[in-house]
Amino acid sequence: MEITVLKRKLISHLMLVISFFTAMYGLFWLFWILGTLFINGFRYLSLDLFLQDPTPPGIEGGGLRHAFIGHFFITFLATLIGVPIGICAGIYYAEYGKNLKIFMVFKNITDIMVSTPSIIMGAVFYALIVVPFKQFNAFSGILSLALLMVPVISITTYEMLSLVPDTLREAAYALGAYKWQIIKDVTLKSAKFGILTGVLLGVARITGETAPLLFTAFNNSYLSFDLFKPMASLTVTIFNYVMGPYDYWHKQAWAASLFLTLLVLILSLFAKMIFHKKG
Amino acid sequence: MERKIEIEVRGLNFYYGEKHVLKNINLSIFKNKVTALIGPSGCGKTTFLRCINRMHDLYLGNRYEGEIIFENQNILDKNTDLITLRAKIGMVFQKPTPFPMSVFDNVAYGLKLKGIKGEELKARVEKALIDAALWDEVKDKLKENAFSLSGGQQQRLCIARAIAVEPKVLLFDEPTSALDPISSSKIEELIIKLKSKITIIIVTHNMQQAARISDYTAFMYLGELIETGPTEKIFTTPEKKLTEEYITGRFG
Amino acid sequence: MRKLSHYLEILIKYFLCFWAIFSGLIFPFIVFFLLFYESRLAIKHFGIIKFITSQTWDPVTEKFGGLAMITGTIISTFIAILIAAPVSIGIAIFITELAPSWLKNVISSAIELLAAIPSIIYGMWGFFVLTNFMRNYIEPALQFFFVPLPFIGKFFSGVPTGIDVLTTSLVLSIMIIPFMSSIVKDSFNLVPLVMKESAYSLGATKWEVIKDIVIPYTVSGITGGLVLSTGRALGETMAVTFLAGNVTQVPTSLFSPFTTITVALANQFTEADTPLYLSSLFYLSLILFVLSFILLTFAKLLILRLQKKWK
Repeated sequence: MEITVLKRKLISHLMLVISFFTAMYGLFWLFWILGTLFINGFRYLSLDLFLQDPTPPGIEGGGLRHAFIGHFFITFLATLIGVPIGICAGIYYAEYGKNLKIFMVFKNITDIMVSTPSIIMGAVFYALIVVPFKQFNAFSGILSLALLMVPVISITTYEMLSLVPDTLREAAYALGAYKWQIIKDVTLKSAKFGILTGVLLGVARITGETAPLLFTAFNNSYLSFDLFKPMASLTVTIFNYVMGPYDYWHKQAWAASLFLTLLVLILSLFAKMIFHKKG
Repeated sequence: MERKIEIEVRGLNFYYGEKHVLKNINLSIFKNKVTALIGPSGCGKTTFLRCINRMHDLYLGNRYEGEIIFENQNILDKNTDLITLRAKIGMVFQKPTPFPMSVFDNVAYGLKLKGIKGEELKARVEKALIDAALWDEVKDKLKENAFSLSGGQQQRLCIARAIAVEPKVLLFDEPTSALDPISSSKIEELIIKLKSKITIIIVTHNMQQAARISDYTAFMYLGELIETGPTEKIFTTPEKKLTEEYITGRFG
Repeated sequence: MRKLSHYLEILIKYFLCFWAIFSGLIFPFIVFFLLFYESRLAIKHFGIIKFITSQTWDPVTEKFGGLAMITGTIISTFIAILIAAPVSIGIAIFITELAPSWLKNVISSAIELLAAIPSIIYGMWGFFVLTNFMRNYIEPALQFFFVPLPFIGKFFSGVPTGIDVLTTSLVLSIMIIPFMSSIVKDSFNLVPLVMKESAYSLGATKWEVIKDIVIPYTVSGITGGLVLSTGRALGETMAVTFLAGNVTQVPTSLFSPFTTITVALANQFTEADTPLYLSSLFYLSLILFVLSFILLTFAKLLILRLQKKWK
């Protein structure tokens, strides 16, 4: 073997070894973060965390029942609003708008909105709802999360419907069906797993969000179901507890973070599984 | 007529995963001759071609058995240096595959890898383009993107790129199937011209093409080498019935 | 019956159409217009040039300038990309060209998990774990090596606290690695096999094929991934809020505490007690929105271009 060939092969191997290490570098952070989270989270996890409301600041004990319930409440209602809007928009883009340039522009703008900074949503709904009501309220938080989710859902819906072959639609047309019947009975049905994947990813995304809630739903030390009062969420509570001075707050924040992360990871994993099962 | 053997294939078996794709192939490839591999689609002719420069090694799950002797060594040996091997046994593909660079850089690519620079590089690129009968058409647009050439020119560019590194053997995998008739005949002329310096193996679907340009023909069917011999003999008096049926167009 | 179906047809069509226009035009417009409207007071007061070139941010005297936040955002994002880009390309190379297929899936799923971790977790972990590690080990070591050097030495000056530009950028880089590597990986997969085989058939090594064929082919996809990740990093809030230190100054060293647009918003929105103060915060939001919208549009166009090329 010539020297140059040997040298070239060595360089090649070296670069490939480096690429192996970059993958290890990524995994290193993953394991460090998840490892710390699991160790601390499990250490401080207790039943009280889910069943007790907080004690007054500085007095040890209590739990985050109000934040768990508030978080589910906010996420659930946001999903209820965001999912239908997203799906409707996605259906229109895929089934009606494909040949209309202007709607493809709208679709691309929606796609860009997927990556818009989430704190912007908070600022927008602060101006739209918090200011007129002169009070932080759960409703504004719900809307900001709902609107954060709309682009995610509509883009996945669009993409999943685009995968449905046109021949399927044509076959249904040939039977004399109306377009809305075809959408309902043929295209939506064959893309339902894909759309479900999008919904789950959207829910996973808003479940982990903090920034849009900071100055909309704000925070509350008590359990509340009033849409027009501030409401606690898990993420904002974690934020406040981590920044707070008490050691027991930090412990509760670790435990709550573990729960939150597991929830989001399971949702994402579930989404991925459904998507692959379909394929 | 003097015949020197360039490549000797002995008892070659090739497995793609569990599938036994090539079955006990024995074949001599003669130096400075054109050998055509013919047979119906799926008969394994391309698979066989890709054994000769060990292209299959790029993917997992392949296994070779037997020997392919080239320059007194079994190239199927584990210790074969594939980089050197592939520089000696070049390949031209079905579709033109110009790289995303200028015409000059395309032809220079293999040479640059070998560390050739400056005036020598220029001279060898020019020589390769002349040998590939492309120089007159591109000498004024060496700096232009290779994609700006026509399909036939792109394919001759790929041939120039392959011969620039001065290989001993050149493998052609249906090089004209994506081209128009005029471009095809230019490539055919080129192949006949090239054989004075290079041993050529060509896979083709087109039997007239095989008859026109090859000295030897090997007929494959279902992974087996059915018959091989001088092209004239295969096309006029084949020994096997299967070969005759294929040549006369009764199947395939 | 037929008539009902007919009316339903029209009704459903316009209903769907409304939401399509809503999410692709009305809502983005509302966001832009509202941010603009709410910042009008600050825009009138400070103009554009003055606002983005002034470092003063003083709620007491009501003098507001966004220079510290804007430079903080840009610097931390830039360093994050600088760290994340080579790593992401490396990961994409490993996954597409090197790993056996079973490992491929394991590694790419694991890297995707990084993207699923909520950003507040990154912030909290960074705050409790990484800052100590940086302060005690990494930053003193970097100072030892780099401070004596001319020119770049001053970027490593100051007392390492772990709450600074470097730690923030590092965490940001970890957060964007999954996005970037997945886009680069998808672009790499678009390179036709036969193109790579042609290079191999000339006797190229694996790295030569990647360097000379795969990467030049996917330049627009890689750039798109870079820009898209930049857009993401610009708007990242929670992780940065924990780690930046919230000090309104243009950072002069990797170890300076600093602030970004999102940090300022997260910390001060609920405290803004005068119209001009609040309006200045909206002005910052507007700048962030416009900046990320432009970057994301650019990224989208680049990625579309690559996909079109191979259709």
